[in-house]
Amino acid sequence: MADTRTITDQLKIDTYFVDGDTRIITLKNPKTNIERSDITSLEAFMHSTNIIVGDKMGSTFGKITKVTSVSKTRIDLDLNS
Amino acid sequence: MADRVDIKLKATDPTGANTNTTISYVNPKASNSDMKTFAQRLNALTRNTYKESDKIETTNLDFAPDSHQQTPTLTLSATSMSKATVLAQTAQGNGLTYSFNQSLADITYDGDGQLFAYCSNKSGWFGAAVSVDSENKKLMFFAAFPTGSWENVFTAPVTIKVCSTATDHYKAAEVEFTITA
Repeated sequence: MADTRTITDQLKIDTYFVDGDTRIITLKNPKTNIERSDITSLEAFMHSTNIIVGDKMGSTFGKITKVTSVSKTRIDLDLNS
Repeated sequence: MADRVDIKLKATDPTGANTNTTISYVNPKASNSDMKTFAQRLNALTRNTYKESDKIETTNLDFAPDSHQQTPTLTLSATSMSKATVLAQTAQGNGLTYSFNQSLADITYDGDGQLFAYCSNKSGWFGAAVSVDSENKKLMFFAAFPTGSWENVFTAPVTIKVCSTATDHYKAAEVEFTITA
């Protein structure tokens, strides 16, 4: 079997709720050119719709605290070929 | 309303393979269109191509109240009698007034509530009473009248309702008896 190289990217959006709860939304294959404005407008949408709720009796959305884009390259070398 | 709602965001990745993401802790009160918009906006941060989103609802059945009340059997041995038959009972009199007290029907009831009866069309009722003999489970009819006017005890048809009260174990029930013209 030949060498394989697998790249997986993940976007992690950390959110905070007024009851102190935190949630992470994880998405695969993020864009490489995500801007601050993309995140602030998503945050505004989450505020106006209260689309994601916290733990304690539907606690209100607070804010997006962190956005991290992580790219992982996995290399499998076939040492027998 | 569901206790918990998740959105399943279905997309295809840059290689064309399916990639599904579950978005949890969605507000159950959010509209379907807001949920769809949110899924699309999250997908817009990725290099995936949006396909569709499903709403997945979970309801915790342990929050639902138990329906523990059984439906009782409440029936009558007869459900109607003509006025003539009702008044054909031998009346007891003292020369001035007559009265009769007769059972219209036997009541079958397997619950633990109270039984009672009433006339549900008051306009036909005059000078007579209906009641339940709870011990013997009979629907009783009583009337008293001055001699010579027993025909006017009531105007048929008369609808009598026999009812049982609701308890912890049994639901309320009712059944009708009609005195026909």
